[in-house]
Amino acid sequence: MHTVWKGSISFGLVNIPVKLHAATEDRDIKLRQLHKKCKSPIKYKKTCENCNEEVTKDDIVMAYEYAPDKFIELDEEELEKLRKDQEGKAVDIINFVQLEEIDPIYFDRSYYLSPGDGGGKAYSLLRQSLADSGKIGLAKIMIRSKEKLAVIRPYQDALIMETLHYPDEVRAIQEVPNIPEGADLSKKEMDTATLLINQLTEAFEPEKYTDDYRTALMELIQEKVSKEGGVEAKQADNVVDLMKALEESIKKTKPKKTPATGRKKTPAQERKKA
Amino acid sequence: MAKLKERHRVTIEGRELDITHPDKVLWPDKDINKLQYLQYLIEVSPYMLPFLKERLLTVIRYPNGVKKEPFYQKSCPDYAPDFVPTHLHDNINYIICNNLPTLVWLGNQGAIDLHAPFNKIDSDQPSEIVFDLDPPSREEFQLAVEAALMMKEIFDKLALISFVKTSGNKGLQLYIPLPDNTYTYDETRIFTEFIANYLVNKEPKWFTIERMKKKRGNRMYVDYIQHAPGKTIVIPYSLRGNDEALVATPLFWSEVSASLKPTNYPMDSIIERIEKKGCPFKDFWDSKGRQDFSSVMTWLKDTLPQLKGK
Repeated sequence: MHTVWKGSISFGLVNIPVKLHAATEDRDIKLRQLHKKCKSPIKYKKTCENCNEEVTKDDIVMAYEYAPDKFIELDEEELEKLRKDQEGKAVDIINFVQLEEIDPIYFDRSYYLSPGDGGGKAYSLLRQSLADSGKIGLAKIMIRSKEKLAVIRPYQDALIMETLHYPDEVRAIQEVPNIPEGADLSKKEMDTATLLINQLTEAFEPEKYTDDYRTALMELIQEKVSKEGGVEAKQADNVVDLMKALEESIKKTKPKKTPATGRKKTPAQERKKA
Repeated sequence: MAKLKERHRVTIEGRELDITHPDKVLWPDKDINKLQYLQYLIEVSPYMLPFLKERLLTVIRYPNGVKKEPFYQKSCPDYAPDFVPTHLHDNINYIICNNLPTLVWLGNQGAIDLHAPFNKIDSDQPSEIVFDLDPPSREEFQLAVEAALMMKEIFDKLALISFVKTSGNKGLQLYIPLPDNTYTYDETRIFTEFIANYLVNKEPKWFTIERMKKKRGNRMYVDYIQHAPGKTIVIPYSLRGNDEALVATPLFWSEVSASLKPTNYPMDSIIERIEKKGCPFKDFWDSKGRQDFSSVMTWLKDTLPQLKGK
């Protein structure tokens, strides 16, 4: 499993080296954009509107727009220093709470934790003590230049970490339009609704549910591929330049064998181009 | 001409076989009968047989001449003489045309188009790379000539030894002999795809790698997918089942020019041509050992995955 982060969890006097692995993955079918005319993949180019020129990574600096059209530039060094300061820290378990206290709205992403070198025993200790106490650890961690709030809890045989949204990242319920404030509901209406809920109540078995849209889309794609064969994109990179590079490389290895060709245009070529 | 007997017992290289209906006309427009065809096969066999040796044979048979319905034959018929070598592959008992008696027997059966795969029976690796340059029709034959010359220029620059022949129909076929058991079809595909992409990028109005026929228009399809395990190509000096009795003719590179016509090489011109000019594929087998394909292959394998990963 690919490691996305390496560091340690500090828990009282114990320091546990750990690795983080993404616990979930996006299974969406990715559709590519092609140019309608020639069926080549669309590429994004970064351009500067002011200079009217294409820019590369080296031409770009990061900045914060602190007021409309007013920017404060942050150079890579400053950002790197901040990141280092944060990342150097171990993941401190700040508090222990009950899982039920956290509303699911706060959950962001899930990561499996695996013990780093020599961390097996401490890993087991944390896993066992959390399981016995029925509590989960609340911690702060720096991932991908963002300091995240996270919970650490046992999950089957492993420890799992879920990053949480900060309260200010959760939008206020007052912003949602047309929420009714309570209504006159008859007992009969309520009874019927409750009955329906009870009838449809089951234990949660996630295996029962599949993404029907994704399945149907994949079936459609496969059917079209077998019937129509698809279109082949022209090699996006300039194959003509590549050929030159290959020729150069061969020329270097065999300077003598390469005949000095330079074919004159054949009559056919002249006729075609005329 | 006196009427020929219906059945002649002949002995070729110690093998006895019957020539049946030797005066049956196979190419009515050219008035070529079976006996003449068999004579051609015998005379051309020193140049043709090496391309059939140890390869699974597929033939198109025209038992009643090229104007009548042909059929494909892969599996060796039960009535084949004992001297015909066979090889079981994918549940088909293929003929392996390793010797002249087998070739003549096939000719007597009206086998005209002789096709073979790119690898020998004891190997799953290609013995040579072949590019099939097949224009939409004979009207666009110049596209095949143009592509062949562009490719020859590339092959020369890459220090690769290449050979060219007509398809005997409307196109040209380019050969790059390889050392035996050295490259896989997956590897040669990297090369053939690269060359095909190059042609299409260089001259998009002339060439295409579009799989759907209706989208190709008048452009020539550069078929790099055809060079794969299980696929076959017509062998050098094989006749084709067309009215003009055209031969898939090995050419000298100097003959590939605007004056080249797909109809230049009918059966009755071939033996004299070989006697006068020699066989352009004479060095084919020798060149396999001299061919340095590894520099090109290594470069492509190092370079292309990085680009695709971008």
